[in-house]
Amino acid sequence: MHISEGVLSANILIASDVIALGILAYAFWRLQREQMVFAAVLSALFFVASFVHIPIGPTATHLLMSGIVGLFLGVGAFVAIFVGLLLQALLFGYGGVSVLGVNLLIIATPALIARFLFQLKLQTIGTQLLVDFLMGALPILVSSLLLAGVLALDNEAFLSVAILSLLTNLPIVLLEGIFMVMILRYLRKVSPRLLEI
Amino acid sequence: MYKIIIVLFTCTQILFAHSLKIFVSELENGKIEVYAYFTKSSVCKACEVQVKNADKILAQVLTDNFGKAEILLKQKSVEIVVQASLGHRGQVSFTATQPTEQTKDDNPFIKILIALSVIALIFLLLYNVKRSKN
Repeated sequence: MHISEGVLSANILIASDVIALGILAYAFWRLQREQMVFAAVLSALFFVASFVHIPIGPTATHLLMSGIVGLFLGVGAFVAIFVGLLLQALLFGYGGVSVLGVNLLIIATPALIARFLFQLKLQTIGTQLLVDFLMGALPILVSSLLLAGVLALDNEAFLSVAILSLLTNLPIVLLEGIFMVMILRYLRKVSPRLLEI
Repeated sequence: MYKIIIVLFTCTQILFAHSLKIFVSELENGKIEVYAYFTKSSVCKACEVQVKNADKILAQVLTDNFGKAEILLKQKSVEIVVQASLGHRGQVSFTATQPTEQTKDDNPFIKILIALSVIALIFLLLYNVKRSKN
């Protein structure tokens, strides 16, 4: 899901860095002091999830868990995901420092969908299961679409790579939806107070 | 006779235009630069570069707009495979002359532990920043 350094042109990088910086500052301002511990845990979850690689055909993709970060932190997810992306870039070379802005926008913006869906407060069991699934799956699907869109927008030569990237991320969409259903079912049983968002 | 020569020349040019050429050069700090191109004016953009040892993939990156990709080499002898669109594929063997630092990079768990500690420190710092503001 990470765009590597040297792939995108400077105008896209600068524009995305400026937008990401503005949202990051707003997210930090909105993040409550009481949320910091939770933000640290979710940032660590996001960081570690990227190491769970799933081989798909000749390539491999990895988990993101951005939905759960967005669900619990709302716009504060930008801070948690930014810290995770920064360390992935510095320590493991995932993405890169110059593409932090674009990667942050691609991953953190769709994470807010989970929060929005949760706030719909759907009551019936059937719809709740579906919404739980969508809270995990939709952020990944939208991130994949944004990634493909940015690659295609930057250079037509990237169009085939964009389509391939979208297709390889589809199993992760399904997987993260299932994970979200399992996590929320567990939390509702064990610690429903955590879900009083 | 002239027609045959012209047809043969054209076919040769087409064949060369579609043959993927790979040029690997060694950089500093154990890195290599892979340059993939069809002709001098047509570089291999966003092509997938795989660094392999036997069948194990050691690294996987995309080339940039100039057909180039930088990769940290973790083993001395590797196979470099470049995959372009429409089934174009090239492969070269490469042996580094400089020593590679594979032992330092091979254990990711230490890096993960460092990263988790840094995350805790960053959020502790942010917590204190918020406290001082309130």
